[in-house]
Amino acid sequence: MAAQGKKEHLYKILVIGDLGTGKTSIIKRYVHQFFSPHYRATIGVDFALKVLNWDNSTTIRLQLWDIAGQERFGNMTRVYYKEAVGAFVVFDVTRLSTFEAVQMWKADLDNKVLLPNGKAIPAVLLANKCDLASEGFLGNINQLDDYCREKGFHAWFETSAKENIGIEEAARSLVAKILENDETIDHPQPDGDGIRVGEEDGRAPKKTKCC
Amino acid sequence: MADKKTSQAKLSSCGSSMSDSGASAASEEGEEGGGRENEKDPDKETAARCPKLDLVLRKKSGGLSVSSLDSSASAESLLEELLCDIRRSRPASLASTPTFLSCSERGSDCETDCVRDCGRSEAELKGMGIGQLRTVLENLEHETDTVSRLLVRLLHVRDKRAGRLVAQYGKLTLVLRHFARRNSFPGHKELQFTLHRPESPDQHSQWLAAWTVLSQLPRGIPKHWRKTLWSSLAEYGTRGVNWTVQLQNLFSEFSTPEDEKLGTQIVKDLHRTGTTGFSSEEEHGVLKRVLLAYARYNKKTGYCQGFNILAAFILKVVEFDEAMALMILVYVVDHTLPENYFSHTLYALSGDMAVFRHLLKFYLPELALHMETLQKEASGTIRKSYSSENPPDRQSVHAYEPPLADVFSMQWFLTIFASVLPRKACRRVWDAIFLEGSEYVLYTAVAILAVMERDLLLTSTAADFYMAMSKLSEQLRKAHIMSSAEFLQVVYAIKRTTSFDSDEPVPVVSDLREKFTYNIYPCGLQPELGGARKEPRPMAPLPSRGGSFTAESSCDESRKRSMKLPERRKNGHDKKMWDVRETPSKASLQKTLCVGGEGDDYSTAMSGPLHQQLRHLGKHYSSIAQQPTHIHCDMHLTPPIARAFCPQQQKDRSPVPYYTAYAADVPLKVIQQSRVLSGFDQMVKLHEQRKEQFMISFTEPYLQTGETGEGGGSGTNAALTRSCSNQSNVHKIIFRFHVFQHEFYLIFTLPLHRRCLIFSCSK
Repeated sequence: MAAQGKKEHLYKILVIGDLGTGKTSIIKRYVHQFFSPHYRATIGVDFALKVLNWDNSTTIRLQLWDIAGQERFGNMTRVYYKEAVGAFVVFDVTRLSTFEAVQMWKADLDNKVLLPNGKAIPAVLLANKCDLASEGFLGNINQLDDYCREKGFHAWFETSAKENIGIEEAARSLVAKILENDETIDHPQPDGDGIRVGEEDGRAPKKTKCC
Repeated sequence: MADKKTSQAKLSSCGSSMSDSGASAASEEGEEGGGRENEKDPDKETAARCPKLDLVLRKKSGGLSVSSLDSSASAESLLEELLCDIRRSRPASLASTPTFLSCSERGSDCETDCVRDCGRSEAELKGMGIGQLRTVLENLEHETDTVSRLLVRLLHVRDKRAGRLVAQYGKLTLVLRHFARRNSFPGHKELQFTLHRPESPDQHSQWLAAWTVLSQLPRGIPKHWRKTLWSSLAEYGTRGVNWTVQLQNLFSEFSTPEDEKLGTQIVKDLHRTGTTGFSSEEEHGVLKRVLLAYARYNKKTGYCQGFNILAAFILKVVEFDEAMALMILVYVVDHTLPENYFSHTLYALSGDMAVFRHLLKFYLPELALHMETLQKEASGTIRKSYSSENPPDRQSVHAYEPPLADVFSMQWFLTIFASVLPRKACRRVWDAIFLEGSEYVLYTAVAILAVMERDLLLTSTAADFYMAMSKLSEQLRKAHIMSSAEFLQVVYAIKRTTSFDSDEPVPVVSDLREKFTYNIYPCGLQPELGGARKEPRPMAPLPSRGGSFTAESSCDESRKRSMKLPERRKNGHDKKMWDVRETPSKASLQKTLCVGGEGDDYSTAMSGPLHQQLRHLGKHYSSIAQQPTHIHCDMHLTPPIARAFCPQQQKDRSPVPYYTAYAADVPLKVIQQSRVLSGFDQMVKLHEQRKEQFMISFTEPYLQTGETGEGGGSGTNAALTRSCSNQSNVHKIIFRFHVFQHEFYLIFTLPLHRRCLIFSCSK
């Protein structure tokens, strides 16, 4: 009622990466604006909601899905990849192995979820714990640009949940990309409402079989 | 005897090689050594014994290696050995009898003297004259005497204490039997309490029964006994494992490359246990060793995130005894929970998650349905962009939302509630799991949602639901929703419902587990199991959504069944009332039950069949509602809700139907309720039209000023909304209408006031 023509978007965003890279910390920082070194390890999946006033006419609700880093949860968590429209892939600048795992996570992501137009969902690479970068392995930061192009990341950011660096920017960048995607996907199919309703009923049982 | 003789012979031979005095000194040494040997005895032997030389010598020679006696060891070396042995044995004997330390202060003083005597021994003794040696001998004899008298006294004390302990066990056993009988526990006559697990197998079950009853007392097992119980159970449960050998290997410092790899994972999680007070390096070290030891023990499972939380939790209980913690961890993971709960595919876990969803349909049908609806809706709304000019039509039909409960049940099960319940409650849940089986994992999960049901029903989207859950979980963890004792009552109530005789068979967890472990369906597509067929109950549409009422769906058969229900239900009822009497705080339990069962049908388990019953009897209701009513408002500070469901005693005296209001929580502003009542008829009519429960929104002023607002129906939602300038004060009230034994109950739930009002009327 209040705001005529106000748009609201609900986007599902995944946060993935190796164990202990700081996914939960990033989410807590982004959503609750605080940091604590004593989080509980994420078991399975976790969930957070962030409401963004994008501009005067757009409100965006981000459903952030915090996916546990341990491999064995993969089976259980893959159902939460469905319908995601964006992802953060997180690695820890102080541990090379987590960076090496980024490829694996990205491949996994592209494997499990695609945009309706068949393209990979936009993913942003987060080099977390950059406050500890002095002990990190990232010598030449410029290489990451090439790396992102090569691996199909939309962008990358140095972040620190502890010092609150880079997270807002990364999120804005991802959301911008999602909005852009949304425009291009939604416009080509403006009609067909009536049919859809019928379809929805018909397909309802089908869509749950993937669990 | 032979040993003794040999020993004596050797001693005398040794004596001959020195002087006579040397010989006597040597035998005194032996005697003194024996005295000390005896010091050790009380720990092992029950009977008191006197330190006699021959006994002593026998023991001594037994204690020494036989080979040394057989070999051609010289008398000197034998003497040397004896002396060394005596000196060595002293601190050991003291250390092994810590309980006697304080009592035997005098004794140890003597010993110090003796040792001093011994200390100057060999050379000095050799140089002593016979007179001096006699004095030494006398001293030693005297001291030995003192020590043995002391020993005898202490042993008497010990016997007396043991006797008293047995008597206490007897008393406790009687109390437990009494409790068990009143509670109709099976096998209550046999139970027998002892602190430590008895060895014989038939006593084991008695012991187990006693602890089970103890664990169900309102306050559960005393905290300082828990370590004993858990370790006894773990030892018994893992009796096939040779722990003495295993522990050495598992805790060895030597690490393989595999360990290194595991180690890095484990180290990452050490500080992420969510357990307060687990911060020092030392504690992390212990935790890491336990986790690594488990990973070595069970290579297939290795380290699963969540073990850190389990191990930290166990370590707290066993006071950082790492070997015991490991045994308990092994017991939980490998011997208590279903196989493959934590191992690589986690399929037993997904099985349990499916079982849980199924149980929800039985125990909390309304919530289950609500969650399913949200899930279905969310499946359509994700990725949907909508605006007021652009109705939500362009939604992806392929969207899929996993069952809402899964996000949480996965965490709960993987940490066995250590991450969601308050510590105290969690320990008690573990007691139940250990004593009565892993089904309690599921009952506890149902209990958690039961206590949150009221708030969860108010959520209108999946995202809302998730947010509400995280908030409520946090509150639960801090014990803000209810105390641990209350929570456990809910758990046990859910468990106990399985023994009710109901037409709808209570689902059997073990059957469901078998069914689901290899056959997992997402929520909504589960095949109806024969054991737990359930027609979902239509739920209240929420004002914010254009929900539609689901048609009433009760088949003839269920109608027939439901006709038989009242009597049975009453039985269930008596039990429930008993629960109310037994819990420490009436008022708080009342709240519990209100929260738990939403105050509606009192027992969550009954809700399924009852709902059918209610709907069936609903047709009687109109006749009552249309009669002129006399409203009678009756307030209690600690209202017996159970009474609300029993036939009213004044019923026969009063010819006109009347309403009785009970408020389930303090503090009450009584007037307001009569005001609410004035709108009552309106609501009843609405209810009658829809033949459904509905949700209603009232504004705060309505309640506080007692305005006689009828409210206005808002479209198809059947929701009454009164507009108010201050929108933030809108309170949602859930109404339900229930019929039981020709009595009608209207239940108001005021979530924000944490209050539940029950109005009953009878013909």
